[in-house]
Amino acid sequence: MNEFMIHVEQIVRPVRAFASRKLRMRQELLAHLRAALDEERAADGNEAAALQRAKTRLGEPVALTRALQQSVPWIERALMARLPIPGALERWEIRSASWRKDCPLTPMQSTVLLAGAAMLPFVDMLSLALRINLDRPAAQQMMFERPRAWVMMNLGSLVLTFGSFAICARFIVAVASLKNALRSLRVRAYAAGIISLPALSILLLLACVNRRPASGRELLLSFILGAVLLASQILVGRLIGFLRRPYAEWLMLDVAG
Amino acid sequence: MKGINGDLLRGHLQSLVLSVLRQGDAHGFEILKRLEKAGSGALQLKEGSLYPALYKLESEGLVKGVWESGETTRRGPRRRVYRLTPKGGRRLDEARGEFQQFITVIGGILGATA
Repeated sequence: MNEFMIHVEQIVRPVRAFASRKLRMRQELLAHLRAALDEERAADGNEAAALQRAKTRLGEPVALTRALQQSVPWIERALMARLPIPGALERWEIRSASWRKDCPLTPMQSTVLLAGAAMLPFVDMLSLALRINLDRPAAQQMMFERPRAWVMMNLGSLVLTFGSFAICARFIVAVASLKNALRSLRVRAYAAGIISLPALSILLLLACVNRRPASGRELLLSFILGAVLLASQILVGRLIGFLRRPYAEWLMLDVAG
Repeated sequence: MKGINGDLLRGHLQSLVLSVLRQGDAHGFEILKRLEKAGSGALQLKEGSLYPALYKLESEGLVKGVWESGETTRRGPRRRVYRLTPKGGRRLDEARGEFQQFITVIGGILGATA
């Protein structure tokens, strides 16, 4: 069965189509191969030879991939086209695959997920931007009178943004792919990071712009914001895990070579 | 009898599929078996090529596919059962007419009887 799955995956994986369409292609081709194998077994008791004949009957894989691609509507082909930037991201993801072997997503899907995950920490950054706006005179004054602190604050925001991005993306991937994700120490560390992010943002901002410590109310609000962020990311991770379940067994197949 | 391979079948496969589906609903493998039986073993089709043809037919609304219900006793992966739609039936009738005309005209030129 696994040999057939690898053969089917070699045919279907390169097809540019939505995941649901590709899953359907996989299931149908696999069902066909199984039926062909039953026939070949009846003709010959040699299991290995029967497997090979069943695969040969299906046709040349490259030609079949091309034919399947042509059956995909043009709009879907265009939407799934390999554009230069996602292509570069995909290559980067493939290179970094060694540290994310537990992730059931393809490199491209991980990239999309990573981008999607960055949306949620923006809620956190929004609170930062909002506060700058509220204290605009203080921020403007700081920019002209304390340029070094202003640069440091912006650099800090940048580090926080990328930190949020990485932590949230990895948290979502872990929640989606690990069965008992919330028991994992690594995932708990990500979770603690996510809860702390809004508080860190507010502390940084108040210290740099207003030169005062954060009040208890402000810190409480930031932790509530962190908890909401965390809960929403758990939900997103679980949803992705649920949606990806039928695809996971295919995507984890090593079809190279 | 000399086999009819993929090149000669090109362009006709979709009509052939519509034709065997007129006999009744069938999944991919069953469609292939019907084609083989109808062709008396002369059709030399790469079996995988059936599926792109089915997908095109479905996207044009000529056939409708539904997944086999979970109640079946058969083991293994799910199969998709295809049914000819009324639009597919009309297309099949058109294809038959066109092919008959093709045979008459080309057969006449080649000196073969239709």
